[in-house]
Amino acid sequence: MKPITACLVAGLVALWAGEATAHPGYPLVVKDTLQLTAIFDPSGPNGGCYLCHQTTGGGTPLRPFGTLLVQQYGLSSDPVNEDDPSLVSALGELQAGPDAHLVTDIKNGIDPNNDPVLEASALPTPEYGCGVAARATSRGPSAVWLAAALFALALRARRAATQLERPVE
Amino acid sequence: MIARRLISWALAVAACVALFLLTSPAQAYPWMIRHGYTGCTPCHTDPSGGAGALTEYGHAQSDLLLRMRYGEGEGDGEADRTGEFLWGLVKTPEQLRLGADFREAYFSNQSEGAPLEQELITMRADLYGDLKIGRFRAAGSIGYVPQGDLTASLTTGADDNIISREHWIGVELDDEGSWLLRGGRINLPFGIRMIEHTLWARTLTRTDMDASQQYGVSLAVSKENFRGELMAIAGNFAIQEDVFRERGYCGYFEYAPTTTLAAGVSSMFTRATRDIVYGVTDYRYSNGPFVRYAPWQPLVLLAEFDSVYQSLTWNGHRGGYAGFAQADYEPTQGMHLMLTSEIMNSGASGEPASYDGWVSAVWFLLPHVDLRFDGIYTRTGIAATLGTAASYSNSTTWLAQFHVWL
Repeated sequence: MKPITACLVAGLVALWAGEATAHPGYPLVVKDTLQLTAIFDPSGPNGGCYLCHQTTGGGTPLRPFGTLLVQQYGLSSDPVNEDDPSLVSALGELQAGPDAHLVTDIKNGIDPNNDPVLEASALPTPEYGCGVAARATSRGPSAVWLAAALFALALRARRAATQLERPVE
Repeated sequence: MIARRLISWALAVAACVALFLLTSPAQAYPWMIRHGYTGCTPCHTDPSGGAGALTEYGHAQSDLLLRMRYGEGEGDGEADRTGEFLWGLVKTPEQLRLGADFREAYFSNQSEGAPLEQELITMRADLYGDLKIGRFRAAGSIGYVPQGDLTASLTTGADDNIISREHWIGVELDDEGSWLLRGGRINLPFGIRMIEHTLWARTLTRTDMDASQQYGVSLAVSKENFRGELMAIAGNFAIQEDVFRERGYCGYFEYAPTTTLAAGVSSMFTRATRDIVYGVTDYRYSNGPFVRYAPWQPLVLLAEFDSVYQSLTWNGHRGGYAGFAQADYEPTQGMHLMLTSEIMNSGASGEPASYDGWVSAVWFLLPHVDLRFDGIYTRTGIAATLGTAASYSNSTTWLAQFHVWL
């Protein structure tokens, strides 16, 4: 099998794996890399997934600390395959970088996701209502333009209909 | 005499209600197929039904076919004036169709190992209108919600918001009005439009009529034996920032080989840079068939099954499904007894399927007034976690609803 074919097959298998997947070895990697005495889980003795995931079972959306590792420190974003070297590397860079205090938090048994600095740089949260629309940056198509285009279309159709209905003199 | 007194009573109640909360209806009654109505447009201003104002014909049918007649029969086939907008007290121009809807519910839920939850919920308090001048159409709703429905909110509070579930303008492309091109905030055309907005087929696909509308452009067609709508979704502009908006398409097509049988398929694909639930880039696909069948006029069977596939960047792929079957039995006009069963799996790793069963009764006791009672038993599958096996959580819910629409 050619390498490109193998990659395609692997990609399709990964894409259609169906179920959400987890990285069950990651909590142990965190423990060993940060030289913790035990696997750290902010929710209690639940296996360690909650450090990075929104539920204790993992496989769910990431919490701010997990997002930070992926977005800023190069942790693999592959949801299917566990990539221990990328986690070791990400944690190493974390310890050496400006966010090293998060590692200190973990070593002291404190949930780094509650760190105000991390919360400030966390994922944006949605806001609702028209009142916030003005200050939000919208890159999408404008509803106003959409409405204007349809209104113009309606006027044109009406004008055409009126011309058709006009009696011939 | 009794009917007149009942109507007077209803008028008084409605007037009091209107003083506090002027309201709007979601009158999605797909079981009207028992009367040979496979399409929606004869009665609804929305081409796919369920939302918006009723047409003049729809108001008449609500009097002739919906409410309990108390032995009156259909008389000469002419609808009573009390079936009209605001019980016929106000005559609106032919081009303007108005409506209002108020639905208040007593809700009680007992989940295993949890305290009893009881509350009064204002489910709907909306006004709505539809303007038709020549081929030009404009429609919209405005309402108040004490809690929830943030994705339809015009105001920015955590609670007590003014909302608009839909607002659009459009143009009818033919003289019969069977083709409608419209743009604005529109109910997503997907599956069977049910007023039971918490059905898993609606919540998992995010296509309920409660607050899941999206902005976009749609083309709808409604002919004698088929109907359909295809919508290009531009996102929900009530949600900020733009990264949370889903874009894609949504549509359905339904064919009715007879006047009492209709079957269709729905399809939807959306992408959001940040999914509003999961916070990561999300590609959602939903597809599925649905059917409505009245083998015997008092009995209507409805069923829908949708597959839902989500690709969540950084968080894996999940393939799930949701479906329901409902039997609506109308032993006498105006009284509906319903059995509904659901199944759902959201696709989370190791999650067992969830099931529920509904026993419901709806009594259309007066023009524009109905009462509804539901008992729901739910068995929710809970995904396995490290060190914990998959499990179930059981709950019982009771609902009593008072509904007035104009």
